[in-house]
Amino acid sequence: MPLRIPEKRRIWIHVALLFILLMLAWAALGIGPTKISWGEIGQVLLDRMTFSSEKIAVDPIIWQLRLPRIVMAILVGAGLAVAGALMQGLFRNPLADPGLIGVSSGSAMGAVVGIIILPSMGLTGGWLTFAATPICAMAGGVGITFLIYQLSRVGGRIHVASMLLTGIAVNAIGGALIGLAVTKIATAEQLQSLTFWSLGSLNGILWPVVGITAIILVPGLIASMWLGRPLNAFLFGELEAYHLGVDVPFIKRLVIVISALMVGITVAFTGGIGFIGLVAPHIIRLSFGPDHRLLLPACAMSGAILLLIADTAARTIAAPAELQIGILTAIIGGPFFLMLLLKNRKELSI
Amino acid sequence: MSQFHLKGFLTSLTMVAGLATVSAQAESQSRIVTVGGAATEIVFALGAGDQVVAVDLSSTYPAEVHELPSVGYIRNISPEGVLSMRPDLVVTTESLGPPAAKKMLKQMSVPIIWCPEPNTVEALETGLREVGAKLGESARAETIINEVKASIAETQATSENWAKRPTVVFFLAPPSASGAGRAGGKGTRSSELIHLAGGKNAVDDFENFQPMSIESLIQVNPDVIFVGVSDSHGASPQSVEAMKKLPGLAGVTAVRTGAVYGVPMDDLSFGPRLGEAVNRWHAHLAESAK
Amino acid sequence: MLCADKVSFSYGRRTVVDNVSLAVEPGKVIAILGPNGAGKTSLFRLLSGGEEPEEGTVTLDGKPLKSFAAEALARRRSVLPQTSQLGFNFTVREVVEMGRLPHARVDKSVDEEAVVEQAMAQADIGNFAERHFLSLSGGERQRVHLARCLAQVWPGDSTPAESRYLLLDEPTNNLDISHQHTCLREARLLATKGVGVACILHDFNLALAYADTCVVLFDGMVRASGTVATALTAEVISDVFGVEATMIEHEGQRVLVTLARPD
Repeated sequence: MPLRIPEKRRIWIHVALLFILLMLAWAALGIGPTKISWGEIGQVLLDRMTFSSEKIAVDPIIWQLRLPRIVMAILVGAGLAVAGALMQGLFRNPLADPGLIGVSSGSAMGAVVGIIILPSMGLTGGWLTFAATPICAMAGGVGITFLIYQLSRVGGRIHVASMLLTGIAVNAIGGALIGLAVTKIATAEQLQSLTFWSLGSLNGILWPVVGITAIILVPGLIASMWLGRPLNAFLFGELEAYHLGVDVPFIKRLVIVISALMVGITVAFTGGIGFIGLVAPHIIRLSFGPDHRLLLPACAMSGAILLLIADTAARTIAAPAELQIGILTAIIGGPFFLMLLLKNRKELSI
Repeated sequence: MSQFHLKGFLTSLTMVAGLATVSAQAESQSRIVTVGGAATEIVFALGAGDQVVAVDLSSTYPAEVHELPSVGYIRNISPEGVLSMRPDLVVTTESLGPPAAKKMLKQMSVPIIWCPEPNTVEALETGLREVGAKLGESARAETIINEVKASIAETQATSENWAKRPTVVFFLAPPSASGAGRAGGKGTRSSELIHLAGGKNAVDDFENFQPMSIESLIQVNPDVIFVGVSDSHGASPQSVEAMKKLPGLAGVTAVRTGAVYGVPMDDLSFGPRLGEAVNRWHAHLAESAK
Repeated sequence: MLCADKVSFSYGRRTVVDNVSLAVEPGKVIAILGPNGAGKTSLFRLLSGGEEPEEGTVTLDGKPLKSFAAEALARRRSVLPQTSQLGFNFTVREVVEMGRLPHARVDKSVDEEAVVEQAMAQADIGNFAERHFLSLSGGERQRVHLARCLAQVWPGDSTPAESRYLLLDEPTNNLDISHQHTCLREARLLATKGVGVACILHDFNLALAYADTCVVLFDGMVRASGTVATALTAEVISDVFGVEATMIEHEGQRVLVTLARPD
């Protein structure tokens, strides 16, 4: 049973989560295949903050390898978890994970199309080299989400089986197209590997990529926080939400666009990291109930915490080699999904 | 709730504590990390094998490398994993991935030699020269280059006199009763090697390594079939034998004449033992060229 | 006044509401009766703004309903649906608080918590305010939704000049007989405070006891309308529902009794 937290005390949940996140980020900075003392880490950060021209030997490892990755893990974790919570509100079902219902596949398809098609049409160079992949990925995500929503809505209600089956179909098509592209059409260099698109990786994230991701994710996350009240009303059904004064068509589009943009940008740069959007909201709901005004900000932080832990493990468990992060998130997320599926069995009758 | 996160935090900390110390060993001589089979073999051939402190999974020769820590698969390298070995020099090839990690390594201050993608004799020459210059073993590098070239020239001279160039299919994994094999198409290292050995790649309607069904194999009807054999990746000698007995393949020239050979997977690394590999393949082809 | 003027609506070729007019007046309770499939719920959708009529207009204080923003409309009318699809485990209090959603940030002087508290007391759910919605029985859930609707049209805050409307679609569904009366007493009480109440009912006697006026629908059309005394007669009931009915009087209250018809 969730705890009932009075509205005034909710702020403390956020403070506690933020504290855990910051502590973990600090810990993650000190964890890695290379042994670096806390003194050296402090020195690197001090040098960077004072724009000192003298830099100690481990500066690149902290500043160019670990820190961008940690910031990216926080951003991507928060983005995926909030996107998951938004979609679960929209679909009125806790199973609506961006990876499971096909949004990630849609984005990956968009990204692959962007990588292959645009250059073949002569559209390369300049800002396009940097922007084409994320833009195509986001477009793919938004398109697929609208499609899934239309296909799984039967008579004003969300048909859960249709939603999951549409996801299976989109994932299958996406997997096939990406497989075809990776093995037959483009060079491996351009397209990354098949495992990148299916399992994801934060390996080798550079500051400019973190910057571009933040440009989309930070406004998306902030806008999401404003959607708590209307999404609460949405859980009663679209008509009920309208009766409660929610501008349903507008909110619906806003939720689809924001969540799909956030998933799209993360897929473009970090591939298909699964289950964060399922696990983070579920933990928060189990602990504090389904109120989106609490759920959305708490999800942002718990998602960041989860992905930060997963990525720190990914880069250290098999050190000096690297583990695919999707393997870790799936090991935690898969059983979660099964558990939710069992709880939702009644609704799944086709 | 907070308990959950605390637990996660502690687990991740303990997981990590034991692993962070892998690289703690003091040495005075320079430390080299090699990534890629060709890169590793070049460094060892130039006599710097005792300075190598870590390799990747695709490095399988010489046997000493199995004792060294692995920095993972060449297509999924962690930059910090490489740097954590505190290398004074990294020798690798352009095949290193993922692209983001490659880009990042190129920005780091550690000296790295990027050998060209090892798939031609010229690429091997360039790699040998660059690494030789860096290690102060240029003379030795030239010697190896000349040996390799001489050896290849010799085989090529013989195959010039063959009545015909045998057609060859190379399988990364042989077709079996349960599925298609993966054959080397145009532009692959196996294709280049077949060419150097005096044969002709029978598969030239696709690029890279692609699945090839038994039926297409019957259609192509090669004179010789090679299967890459290795303990870690690639086929086992048993699977090569099993392939010969597949129904339908009895009529294929290579099977009928017994020209199905397992060849070491290492032959494809395009390292300093390239001459050896070309000779081995050439010897097999010679049987069918008469 | 919430008015429907000669409205029609159809699903595909089937006309479900056919040239219906009715008015929900502030301070009055209007009952809507009719057999299954007569178009009661569809008429409600037109009144609540959930659907737009194909012909005719629905107006609120003379202004077309569609000229209102969803939130402005929600501050003035609340709808209790027949069924709800809430699948997330809110507490009862959180569900009732949802009724205050359109009022948030409008008038800070209103004590939101007090309104929620009173609405829960009136729907007789105060004793399980902290329980989880999904653990409740059908009747209890119905009362929770009623409390949510009461909270939404609660008189006395921000805009006293503007009339408010409560639309109840079969509010007595799943309720025991005592709570059926509680529910309609609350509706009645709200009416005395100036709220206009429209209520779909199946029980003629509840309509006779609590409603001022009524509309009897049959096949999408109005078969009878007016005060309950004039419109809800044994003849109309027999005619519309095809059952034999007779009116008796008990302690000054009129009661409609339906009789089994021997085959």
